Amino acid sequence: MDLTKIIKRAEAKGAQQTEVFSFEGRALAAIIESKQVKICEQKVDFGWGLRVALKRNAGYCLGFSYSTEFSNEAIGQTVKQAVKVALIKKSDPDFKSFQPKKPPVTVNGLYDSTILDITPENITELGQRLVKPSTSDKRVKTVRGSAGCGIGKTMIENSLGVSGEYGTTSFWVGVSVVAEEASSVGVGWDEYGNRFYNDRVIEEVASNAKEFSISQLHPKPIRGGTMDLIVAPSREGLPELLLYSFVQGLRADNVQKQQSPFVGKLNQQIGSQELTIIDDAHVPQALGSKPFDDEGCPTQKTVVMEKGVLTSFLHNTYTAYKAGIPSTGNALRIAAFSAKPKYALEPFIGPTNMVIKSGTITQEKLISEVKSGIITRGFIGAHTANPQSGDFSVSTTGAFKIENGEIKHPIKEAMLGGNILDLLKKVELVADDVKHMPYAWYGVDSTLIAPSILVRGAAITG
Amino acid sequence: MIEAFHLMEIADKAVNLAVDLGANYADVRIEKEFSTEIRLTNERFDSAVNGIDKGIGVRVLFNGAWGFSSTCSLNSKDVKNAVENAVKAAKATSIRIKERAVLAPVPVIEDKVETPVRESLAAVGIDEKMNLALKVSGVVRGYSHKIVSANIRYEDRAGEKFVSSSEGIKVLMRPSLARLVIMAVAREGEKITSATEPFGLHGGFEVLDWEAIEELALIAAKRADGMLEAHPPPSGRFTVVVNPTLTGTFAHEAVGHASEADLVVAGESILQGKIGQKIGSECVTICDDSLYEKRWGFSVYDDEGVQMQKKIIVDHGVLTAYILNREAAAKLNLTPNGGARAQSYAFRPIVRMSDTYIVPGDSTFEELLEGIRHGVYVKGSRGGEVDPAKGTFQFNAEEAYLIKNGEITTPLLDVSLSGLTLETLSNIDAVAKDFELEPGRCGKEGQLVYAGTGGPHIRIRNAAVGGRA
Repeated sequence: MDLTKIIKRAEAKGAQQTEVFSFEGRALAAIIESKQVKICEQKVDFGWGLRVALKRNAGYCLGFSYSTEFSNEAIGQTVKQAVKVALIKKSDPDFKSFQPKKPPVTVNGLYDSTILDITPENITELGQRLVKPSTSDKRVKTVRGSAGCGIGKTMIENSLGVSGEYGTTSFWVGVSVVAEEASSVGVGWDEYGNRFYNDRVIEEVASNAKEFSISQLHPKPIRGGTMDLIVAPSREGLPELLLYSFVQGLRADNVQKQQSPFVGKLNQQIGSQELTIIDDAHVPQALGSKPFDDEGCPTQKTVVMEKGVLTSFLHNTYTAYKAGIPSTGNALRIAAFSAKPKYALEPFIGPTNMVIKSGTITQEKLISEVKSGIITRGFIGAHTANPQSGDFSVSTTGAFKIENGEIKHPIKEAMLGGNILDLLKKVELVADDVKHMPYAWYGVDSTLIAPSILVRGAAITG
Repeated sequence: MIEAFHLMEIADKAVNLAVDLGANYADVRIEKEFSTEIRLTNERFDSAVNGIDKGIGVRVLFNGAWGFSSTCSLNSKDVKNAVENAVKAAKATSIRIKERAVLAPVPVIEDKVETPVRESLAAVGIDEKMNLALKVSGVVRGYSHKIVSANIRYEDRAGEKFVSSSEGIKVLMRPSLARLVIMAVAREGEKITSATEPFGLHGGFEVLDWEAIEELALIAAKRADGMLEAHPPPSGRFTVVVNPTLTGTFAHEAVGHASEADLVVAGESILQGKIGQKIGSECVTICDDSLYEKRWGFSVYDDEGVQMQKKIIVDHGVLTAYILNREAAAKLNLTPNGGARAQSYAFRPIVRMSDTYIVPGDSTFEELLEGIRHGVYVKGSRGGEVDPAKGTFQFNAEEAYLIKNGEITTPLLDVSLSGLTLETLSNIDAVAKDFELEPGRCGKEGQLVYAGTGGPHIRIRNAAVGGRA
């Protein structure tokens, strides 16, 4: 696809700076419902988005539009629409430029050609294998989940000389199991996501989810109070808790709008000494890895928290210019509450792979450190957090009571309330059981890579 | 008209090809939709986009096994590929499937429905929509010096959707709808609060009535400002008075989701096997009403081309209906009621809600407060989540107050409610006669659809209240 042609057309219509982003994706998935492969899906989507910057007064006006067609007529209309929007807007003195050209970086482990050969028959077989461990157990009431893979191609070009493309593949399996016994219900789940094909994990994911659902049967209520909390790595757990408060608070656009609990907290101790968190776009085979971000800025490793000290926010080109520093390469064309595909969105800011630095002790040892507390794999209602203040109130799901260093019994839902800043301060130990977990609405584009953590003195309501 | 005819022609060809390739049933949805999305923070547009999305989704049954395929291209080669892919996918499912899908019979309908529009959303310039957002932002920020920002989201959609099936269903719909979501953020020292008010209706640009919007903008600002005085809530069990917004969240999250028949047949709902049983108190009637005109979840037909109905899910405490798609209806031996919806052509239809609410009763708001010695009044929703299999729910209020001796007193911060759905339904002991229905969005299995929620003020005894400690 010739992106240069589009840039020339925009320049002819008066754009001083132009940027074109395109994405083409294919996905194949087997969806599991009611303990069986229910449907197989194949999807194709492609399109491109155009940003133009028109100089006016002390700054630039920005306009955006997109299309799924490449005809001359479609290009003409898209350019016209982007210019029109730019002319409506007030000049933005904080906009200095689209992403300037920088030396490219190479990231390995983005593309696994094995995935090109996966057929619908292959994927439904993987789906069937995900269900299998659950079929023999009478206590399993139902299984839901999916197995899938995808191929993507991202291209970007701008009038400042940025030009690049990369291909990605993805592979994911996930399953959720409901067990029932004597009118008690237990829910369990597990998942795996990677840029490379790996069907060897399937049996483990499937049996983990099943075992977990059964271990959740016959829960008991607990008495609330201030107690220790272990958050075990799972997609419903820490990624949920962090996404709607911590991650949104790290976004430099939210900070600059004064809509983050981290305003004025840079270089301050905001978390426990035990916590080092890195946004790392270069983790081999991780789903958030990529050579450049959605504005063409080469990606990097950004330490956002070093031993509890807040060291960096996540920037795109716009917020970086405004802050007078280089972009961290976190432009991401995914927005909360938008159903639009990537190419139809302007760049916002988001994580790549957010890595919580592993500790050296096992989860078992972590549990042995707890005299009285709970361990949970998930939270319900994390999206109701207040992203401006970091306050949240959630219920646990998949939680157990710990007494004297041992897991005792599953618990009926308990509530955890607090502020994310306060919670991060109370992290006392980090284990070594690292897991890759997707962030909910960032889909297969961002991950949290984290182990179990121990929070001392969390406020739990029984 | 030529445009619509063109879509119908593509759909017919696709359906015929699917049957030729061996499909026992096929349905095709073709959409061409104009949309605007604007995101404004104070005076800066984070995003302002007009766009046209189009594409085709093909769903087929082969030996009782489903396949689905979609593409954003409507040229004949890509459409042909999509149909072939859907059939291949269904064949791949058919070699694994254990229980083959059957579709409950429905009337074969040929119809065309159009949302009445005075000012076409596609014809109104994006400048006018951007100016509207700016004006709303100005009202919010002008309320007091404590309002530090206004986040305004504007979105509209207008287009054509054609559903065609191998049984002969041909339904052309021309929906048009617009929405504003107004969020006010207030700050005092370290304390930050926010409040959200949505406004949205089916129709053209004329539905965005300035007087109503201005009032909501002021309400959002006033609520965010007022909560700066709030204190951490007590936790434990209380008598709770719930405002219409949160009543809607409860109806939607706790009852609506559990009544979705795909979850019911999969054994993932606590309402499985409970039709005809008493599941709540006498004063509770809950509807999922697709036919509430102009409202956010309104539609005449669903994405299987089935006529949508007003579903009375709970009638005076008794479970009376599930929300059905054709497959679940067949399995449960019920008559389809038009509950299959998809986010867009690129997604398969699944069982969804439309406008879900608790039907008003006959109490006044004051009567609900009467006699509450120590309780909590909760207002506004920050959202919620539910586990329909376990029957647990959790949702967070934007605003709350302590009730003391029947009077609303101290404001409370970040209050959340959680509990067991069935227990809570039985603990509702009074329903007020007021009513509000708000436009929102609901996520399920990775698909976002428009859905409305609402109801009157209600009172719940012995509800679990939590908050940040």
